[in-house]
Amino acid sequence: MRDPLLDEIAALFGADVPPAVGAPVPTGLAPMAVVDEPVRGPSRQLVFHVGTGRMYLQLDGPRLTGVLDGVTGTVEVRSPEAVRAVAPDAEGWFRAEVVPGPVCVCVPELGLTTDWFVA
Amino acid sequence: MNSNTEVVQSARAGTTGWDALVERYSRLVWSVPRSFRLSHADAADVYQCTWLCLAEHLTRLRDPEALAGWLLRTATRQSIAVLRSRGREVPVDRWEPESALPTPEDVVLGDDRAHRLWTALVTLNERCQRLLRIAAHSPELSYAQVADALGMKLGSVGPTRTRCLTALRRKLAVAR
Repeated sequence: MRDPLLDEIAALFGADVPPAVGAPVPTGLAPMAVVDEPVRGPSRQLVFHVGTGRMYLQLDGPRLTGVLDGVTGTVEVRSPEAVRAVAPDAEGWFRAEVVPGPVCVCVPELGLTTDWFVA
Repeated sequence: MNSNTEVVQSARAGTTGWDALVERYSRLVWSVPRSFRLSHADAADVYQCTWLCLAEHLTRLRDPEALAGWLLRTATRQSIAVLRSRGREVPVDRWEPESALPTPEDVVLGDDRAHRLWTALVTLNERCQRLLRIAAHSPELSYAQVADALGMKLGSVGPTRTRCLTALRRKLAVAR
């Protein structure tokens, strides 16, 4: 049986509510596998297996740049607050501005996501 | 009420399960950094990091029914990491104004009984404060989960909780 003093403690902190922080919501897509090998170049680079190719991402402050082997459709850059569809340019590069905090990149046409990481 | 397994499956699918998880456990997650007496801003960081960790691990979670313990452990680790980093940091600007955001005391002290309960609670040792606050917010946690999260021996959770409540009652009686 629960001690009533515990209910009083719970009530005591009833007004101390958690802030509305941007908590990332799962995408429902399958996570991409991270390329498990030494990466040449800056350590800010993230590399994932995507189908038979790879996706390379690089973060330079608020700028996210990426390229995806063999996929020409749009990617989605997600934050807890927003989802943005980003189309690659003629050479296959896509670019987006991100705010510091949780970010994930999704490839809807393949049903894949990088899962959340912190920009 | 849906089981955690059902809610986690729904969250993995990107549907409403995530909101249900946040609603179910937001108070528990928030209570951990606050029980470490972290400021509002630091507690908010721990809170967000804990949910981020869950979002990252959701597809790999082995036992959804043990999620409360997992969240408790994660928030505890994050809170300790913040405390350690605060201990090492030297303030750059000592004239920086104090945060205007409410401290735990500011938000709980409504009436005389609440004031006496708060005063009695904060004079307990830190382990007691943490244990009682977590027990108050998450009655469904098993002793094994609490022991795991707080680094206690399984056999000492029940007796410690009883001792803490007895000590709290004694302090409340003296303050009357």
